[in-house]
Amino acid sequence: MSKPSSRRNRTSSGKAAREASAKTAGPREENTDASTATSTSPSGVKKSSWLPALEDEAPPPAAVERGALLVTEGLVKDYGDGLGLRGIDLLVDRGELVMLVGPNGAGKSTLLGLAAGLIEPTAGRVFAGGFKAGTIEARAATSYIPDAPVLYEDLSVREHIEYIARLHNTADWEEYGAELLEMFRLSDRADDLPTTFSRGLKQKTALIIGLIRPFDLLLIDEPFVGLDTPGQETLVEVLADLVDQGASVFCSTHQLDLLPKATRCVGLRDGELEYDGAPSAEKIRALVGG
Amino acid sequence: MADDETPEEALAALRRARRLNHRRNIHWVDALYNVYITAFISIGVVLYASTLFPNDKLDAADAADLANRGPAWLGLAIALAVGFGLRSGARGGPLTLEAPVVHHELMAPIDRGAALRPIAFRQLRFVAYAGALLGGIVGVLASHRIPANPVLTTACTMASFALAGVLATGAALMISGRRLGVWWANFIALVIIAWSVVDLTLGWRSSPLTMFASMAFWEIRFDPAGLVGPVLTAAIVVAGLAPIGNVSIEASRRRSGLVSQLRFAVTLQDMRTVVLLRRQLAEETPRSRPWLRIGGRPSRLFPTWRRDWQGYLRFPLVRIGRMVALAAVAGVSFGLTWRGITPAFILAALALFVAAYEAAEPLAQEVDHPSRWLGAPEDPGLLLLKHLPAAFVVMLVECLVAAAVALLLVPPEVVGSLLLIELVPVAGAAAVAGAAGTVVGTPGPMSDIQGGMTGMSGVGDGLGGDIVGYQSIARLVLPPAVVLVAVAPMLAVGSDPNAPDTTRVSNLVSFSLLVTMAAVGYVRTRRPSKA
Repeated sequence: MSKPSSRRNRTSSGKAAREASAKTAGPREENTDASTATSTSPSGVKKSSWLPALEDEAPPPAAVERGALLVTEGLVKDYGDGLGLRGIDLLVDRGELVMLVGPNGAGKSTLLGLAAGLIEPTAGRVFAGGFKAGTIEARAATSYIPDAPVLYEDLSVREHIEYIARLHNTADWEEYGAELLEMFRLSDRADDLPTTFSRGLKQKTALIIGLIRPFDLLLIDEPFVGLDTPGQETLVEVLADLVDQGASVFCSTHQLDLLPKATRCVGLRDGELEYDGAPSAEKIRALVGG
Repeated sequence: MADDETPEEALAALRRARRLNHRRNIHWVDALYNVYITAFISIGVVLYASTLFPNDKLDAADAADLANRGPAWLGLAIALAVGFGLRSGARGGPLTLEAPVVHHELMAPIDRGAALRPIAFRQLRFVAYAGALLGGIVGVLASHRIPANPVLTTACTMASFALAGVLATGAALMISGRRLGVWWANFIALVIIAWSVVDLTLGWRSSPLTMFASMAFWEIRFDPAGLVGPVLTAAIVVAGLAPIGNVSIEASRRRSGLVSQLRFAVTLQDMRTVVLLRRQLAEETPRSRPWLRIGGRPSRLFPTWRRDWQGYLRFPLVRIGRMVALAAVAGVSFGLTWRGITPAFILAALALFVAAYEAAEPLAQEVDHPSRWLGAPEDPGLLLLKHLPAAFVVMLVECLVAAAVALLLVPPEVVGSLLLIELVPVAGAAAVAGAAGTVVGTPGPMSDIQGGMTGMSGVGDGLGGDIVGYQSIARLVLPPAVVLVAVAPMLAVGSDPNAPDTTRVSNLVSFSLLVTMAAVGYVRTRRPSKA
C-alpha cells in the first residue's frame, strides 16, 4: 500500500477548532451552542445558581498543560434502566493510540458517544480536543465513526466525501478523497450509492468519510467489523499514520492486529474502569473473555 | 467549491442539491399514483365528513348560537393539539431528522440552530398547509349550512386551522429546544386543556385558545379577541425557533432511528411492530412495580389467566389513560349515532378495536417471542385462546365506561336495555378482534424479514401478487370489521327513548356472534413462523 502524500497535515492540530472558535466570534464561552451560550456572562461570572459554572466549560488546568485531547472526570451515564458508565476518569494525550476493550455491555460505545457529544452525561464532565464535548469547537476537533455506518441514502460515496469535507471546510479534499478511495479499494464504486453495498463496503465508506475531514481526536467504534483482510491492514496503517502525525485515536476494538501499533489499552467492565495500561494480548483476552 | 465558502453555505448548497436529486429521482408514474391515492382518500374523507353535518341550513339564531358555543369546542380541540405538541417536544420532537443528518450535519462545526432552522421552517410550512387543507374542507362543508359568505367562511376556517397546526408545532419546538422534561410538558398541557374545558363547561371565553378559536367564526360574528390567534402563534413560533440549536442530540438520534423503523413497519402494514415502535418513541414502558401485587399461591390450572393480570397490572398510567379515553370516544360516538349521525358508529367500533389491541398485550407477548410460544407444552393456537378471557374482562370494563359516557347523549332506558343485550357480545367481539389483529402477521413477501420481529407467519406466503394484494386489504379491514359487526345491531334500537326495539337488536346479535366465533377459529389456527 502506498502512503498517501497528502495524508500529511490531515489532523487539525487545533486549527479547525480555533477557526470554529474564531468564526463564531467573541469570547470562548459564547462560542458554544445555545445550551451553553447563556451560561456565563462575558466576564465569566456565574449568573445564577442553576446555570453551569464557568469551570464546567473548561478542562482541568493540568490536562490543558499536557495538551490532553480527551479528558473525562467522574463520567456517569444512567440510561434509566441501568448505569452505562459508573464514574470514569480518563486522560488521553496527543499522539496516543488507545485500544478500548471490554465485554459486551461494558460501556465502550457509551464512552465513545459521550466523548463525541452524541450522548449527554448524567454526571461528570467530558472534554474532547480541549473543549467541552458536543460544543462547536469540540465537534471541529473530533471525528467520530460509529459501529454501524450512518450514510445518506441519496448520495454516492464521492458525494458523501464532498459533503462531509465541505461541511468541515476541508482544503484539498478531492486529492485526499481519491487517495482514501484507492487505499480502501473503493475507487471503482465511488459513484455508487452505499445503500447497495455489503456491510464491509459500507464500513469502508464510513471510515473514508470519517477520515476525510480534519481532526485532532478520532473516536472509532468497532471499525474492523465487516472489513476484509486488506481493509483491516489498511485501517491499521492509517491509524498508526494518524498517530505519527500527532492525532490521538481512541478505538473500541478487540482486533489484535492493532496491538503492535497501540500505545495504551483501556479496559471497561460493567461501566467501570477495569484496566488502564500497556496493551497486551493476554490482558485483552482477560478483559474481554474473563 | 469556493475557497471562502463557509460550512453553513456549504450545508445550504448541498441540501439544495439533495432536494434536486430527490425530485429528479421521482418517477412521474409514482407521482401520479401518489396524487391518485391522495385524491381518493380526500374524497372519501370529505364524503364521510359531509354526513356528520346536519343537512338543514341554520337560521340567524342558530348561527349566533354556533358563534357563541363553537369557539369553546374548537378551542378545546386546539388545546388538545397543543397538548400533543408539548408531549412530542418533551420526547425530542417534532423534528424527525434522518440519522445521517444527526451524525454528520449536527456533529459538524456548524451552529446547530442554523442547521436546524430550515428543517423546522419546512415542517411549519407543511403543518400550515395541512391545517389549511383541513380547514378548507370544514369551511366548505360548513358554508353550505351557515347563512354567511362561503368564501369568507372558508377563508376564516383555513386560516385558523393553519395557525392552530403551526401553534402546536411551535409549542413542540419550544419544549424540545428548552429541554423541558415530560412532566413539565404534561403539566402545561393539562393546564391548557383544563382551562379550555372550564371555558366549555361554564360558557366563558377566558382561555387564549378559546379566543383564538373565535377567529374561525369571524364570518358569523367578528370578535377582536380572535386576533390572539395570530399573535400567540407568532410568539410561540419565535420562542420555539430561538433555542432550536439546543435540541438534545441524544433524543434526536434515538428518534431518527425509531421513526425510520416505524415508517418501514407502516409500509409493511405491520401493526404490531408499529405499536411497539410507537411505545418506544413515547418511552412507554411497563411499570417496574405493579399497581397491585397478585397474592396467593399460583394455581396450576390457570397460569395464563394469572400471567395476563400480572401484565395488565404493570400497564403504565398513560396506557390506562389512553384506554379510558378510547372508551369515552366510543361512548360519545354511540351517543352521536343515536342522535342521528349514523356513521359515528364506525368511529365507536374503531375506538373499541384500538382499545382491544391494547388489551391483547399479554397475547402479543407470546407472538413477540415465538421460540417461547413454540416451546410451551401445548398447541400454539390453544395457548392464544387462553389469553382471551382476561382480555374479555378488560373489554367488559371498557364497554361499561363507554356506556357511562354515552349516558351524556342517550336516555338511561336505551343505554340500559342495550347494555343487557350487547355488553357481552361487543366485549367478546372486541377481545377476539384485538387478538386477531395482533396475530394476523405481515404480508407474505416481507414476512421472512419481519418474522423475527413479530414471530408470525405471513398470510400470503407463496401466493401471487394479486392475491397478496387482496389479503393485505383483508388483513387491515377484517379485525376491526369483527367489532363493527358486533356494534351494528345497536343501529336497530330505534329513536324512541320509551320503546327501544330490543327484539330486533337481539336477533341481529346472533349474526355478530357467528362472526366472532369465526374470528376465534382464525386465532386458534395461528402458529409461530418457525413452527
